[in-house]
Amino acid sequence: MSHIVNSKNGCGFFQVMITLCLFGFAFDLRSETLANTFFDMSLEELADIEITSVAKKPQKKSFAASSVFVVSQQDIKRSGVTTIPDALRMVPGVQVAKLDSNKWAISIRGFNDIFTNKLLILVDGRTVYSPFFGGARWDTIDTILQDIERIEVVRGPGGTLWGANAVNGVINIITKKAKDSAGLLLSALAGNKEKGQLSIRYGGDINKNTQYRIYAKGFEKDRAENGADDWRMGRAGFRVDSEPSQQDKVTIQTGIYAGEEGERAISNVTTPPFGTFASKAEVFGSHVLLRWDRNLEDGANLTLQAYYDRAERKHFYVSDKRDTVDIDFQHRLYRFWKQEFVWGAGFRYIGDKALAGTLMSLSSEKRSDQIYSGFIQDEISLIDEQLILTLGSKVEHNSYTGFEYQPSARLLWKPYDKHSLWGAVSRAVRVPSRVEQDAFLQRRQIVPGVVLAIQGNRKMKAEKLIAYELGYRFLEKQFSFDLSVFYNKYDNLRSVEKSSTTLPGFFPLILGNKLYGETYGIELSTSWAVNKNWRLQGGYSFIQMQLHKEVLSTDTTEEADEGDTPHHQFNLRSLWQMTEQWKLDTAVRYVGRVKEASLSRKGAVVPYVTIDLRLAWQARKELELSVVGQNLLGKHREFRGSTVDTQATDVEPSVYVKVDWHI
Amino acid sequence: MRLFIFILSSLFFSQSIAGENSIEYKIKAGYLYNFTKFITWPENKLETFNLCILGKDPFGTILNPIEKRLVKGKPIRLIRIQKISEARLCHIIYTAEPSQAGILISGALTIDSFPLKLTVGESKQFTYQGGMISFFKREGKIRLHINLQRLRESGLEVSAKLLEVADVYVGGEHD
Repeated sequence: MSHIVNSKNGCGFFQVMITLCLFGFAFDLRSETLANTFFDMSLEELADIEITSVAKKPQKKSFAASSVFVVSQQDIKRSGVTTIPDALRMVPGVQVAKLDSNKWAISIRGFNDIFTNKLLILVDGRTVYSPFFGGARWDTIDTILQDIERIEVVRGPGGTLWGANAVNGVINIITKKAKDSAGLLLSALAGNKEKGQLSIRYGGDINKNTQYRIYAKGFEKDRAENGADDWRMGRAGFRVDSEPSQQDKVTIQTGIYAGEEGERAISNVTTPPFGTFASKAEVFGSHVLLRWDRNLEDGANLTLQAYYDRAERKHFYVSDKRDTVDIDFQHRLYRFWKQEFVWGAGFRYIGDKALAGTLMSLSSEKRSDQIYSGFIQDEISLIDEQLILTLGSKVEHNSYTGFEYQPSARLLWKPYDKHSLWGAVSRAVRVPSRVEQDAFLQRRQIVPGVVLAIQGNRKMKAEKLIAYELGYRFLEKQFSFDLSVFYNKYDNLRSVEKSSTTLPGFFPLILGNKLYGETYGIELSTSWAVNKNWRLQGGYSFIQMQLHKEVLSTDTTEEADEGDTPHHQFNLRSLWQMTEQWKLDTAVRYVGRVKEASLSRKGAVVPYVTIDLRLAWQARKELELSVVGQNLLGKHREFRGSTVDTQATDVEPSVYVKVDWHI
Repeated sequence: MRLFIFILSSLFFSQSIAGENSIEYKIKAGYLYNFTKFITWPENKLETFNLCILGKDPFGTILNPIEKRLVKGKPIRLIRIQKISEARLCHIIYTAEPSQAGILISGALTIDSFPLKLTVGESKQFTYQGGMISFFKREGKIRLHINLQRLRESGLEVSAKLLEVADVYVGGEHD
């Protein structure tokens, strides 16, 4: 209080008076209009407004100056999806292509592949990016979908906060706190493609300040007509959230999964098995995570997080086991007026063991790596609530490429309440994977007795990106509109070069960093609440990729990489609450052509349009019955070929019936 | 002069406190209006839909514009009452005072002339002890706690949508 008096004292009495009058006047005006808008808000909106002042609770304001799309629990539920990859199809600018029942190629802003190595995925703060092949193993990323609070999709680089491999985007899957998943949930579904799925969750109180939930889920999916891609999986886990004191929050969570995944594999080398054959992969994983949050005085905040993660995969190609230990520390402080500092430090240990399979061996069976990192970010309010500049950088040291730095500058301008404009320039890197450094990969027999092989390269450098982004956002109760434009410049991209080594029986190629290129595009999303019971959501994205060889490069793969990403994607969703008990939700998607130009990956995937439908009946407060139809316009192919040779299957129409019982 | 500044600054200060508080009460006002949409009262024979504030009124002027709104074609009337005995014509009874809350609960529980009234209070204690809906804070957000058993016993119909955003207490053990 005295602080206010002192600062105003210098201006003189009248000035104080005028300021106060103006302030009071402005305040009254605002309260009147605000009061009215609050009456028109929905229950969900009211339940979501934060009343704590900015100073008390950290908000991810930097998000506002980037291209973000949030998939809510409501969106997941009403889309009728049964997997997280399928939930991402509703996000404009995310390319999702299914290879077979258990494999997806998912990317943002290009470079779509089964191993999209430029996209970072986190589940409750734990990275699930596999440094072995590079990329997320989507088959292992799952939980009870009803327990997901939201999925935050950041399009564009996130290296400044999240570190390496967050080159083209970050996907944060955030599950509900234990207290938001209380009670018993039983959910079961079955259909023509979904042979069966059962989820059980129970949440309750341990004491006044501590809640828990425990869950288990299992499913079986049918193979495609031309495939061998049956898929069985089970998982279980628990989460405990506690607030032992006013300042402290503690979270403990753990999970375990195991599964068996079929596929039709292709092998054209000289050692058996030959040709196309059915193969099964076994996966297993577990994790335990501990997070401690403490609120300090003056709105400062400390977070300490540690986790251990184990992932195993047995596959005819190659088998790997990996242990990850990660410790992260973050400190948020408000050092000066109008500035908000966040800094943090982290350590990660990754130890793996790879067993050579039929097609791949590694130069060292075991390898362990350490990553040390630190970051700092400063958010400066140049004009209060109107012009915010965010500057920051991450610096990390990894055993593969040494020091990497990833700075960014973001500017947000909010001239009026509902409109905001932002721009950003950032640098991000993608660190080579274990396979890219150490593998010896047999591709196919080119003439009898000679096999084309690709060798990893310990001298692989990090791929680098400089990204330029611009965005505009209009946010209103009934209508919202979000537009992002990007121009990305990549350097040191992975290439496949002729090798100078001679190996009897092989025609060796070696990995290098001799490609560079640009991508550019737009992403557009819009949402319109036509009336209280009907909402429409639409999205469109366009991307163009141009990859080039350096002068001395002998690469022949760049065209293929360009072609894997469709230029145009369009989607439209309708969420209609017909009556109190009945809901009808529809989604239409268009995905453009995926081209394949490389010799080993012939053909093209034609553009397709597809429709999903969901009809739900809230029979009783605790019981919901629904029927879901997916890909109703007939079967189509979404992806062809991949780094690992799995035969693509058709995505066929699927219909299932679901029962949700929650007490 | 100094005194002046002091008075002004304290005005300034209280203004800003009201600023922070008022968001909270605006949300609560929004909820109160939403209750009229997601809870069904039997046919209303009165000319108005009566929203009563029992005891101290923490809303100030925030709630006043609600009188421009309708419930099933009848205008909402804001009535400030001091005693539970004045609540005979109320459809919703809200109280911010713990002392009044106790009386409201026991009144609503014991007096037969009290069915079909929605009781709204300011702490989970209120709902645990027999109030129907209370506001509470979780992670800086205003959330609802609903005593479903009491609400159903009262003869009011509640929509699943309201229960969806609320924490529902179904009776029995708590804490």
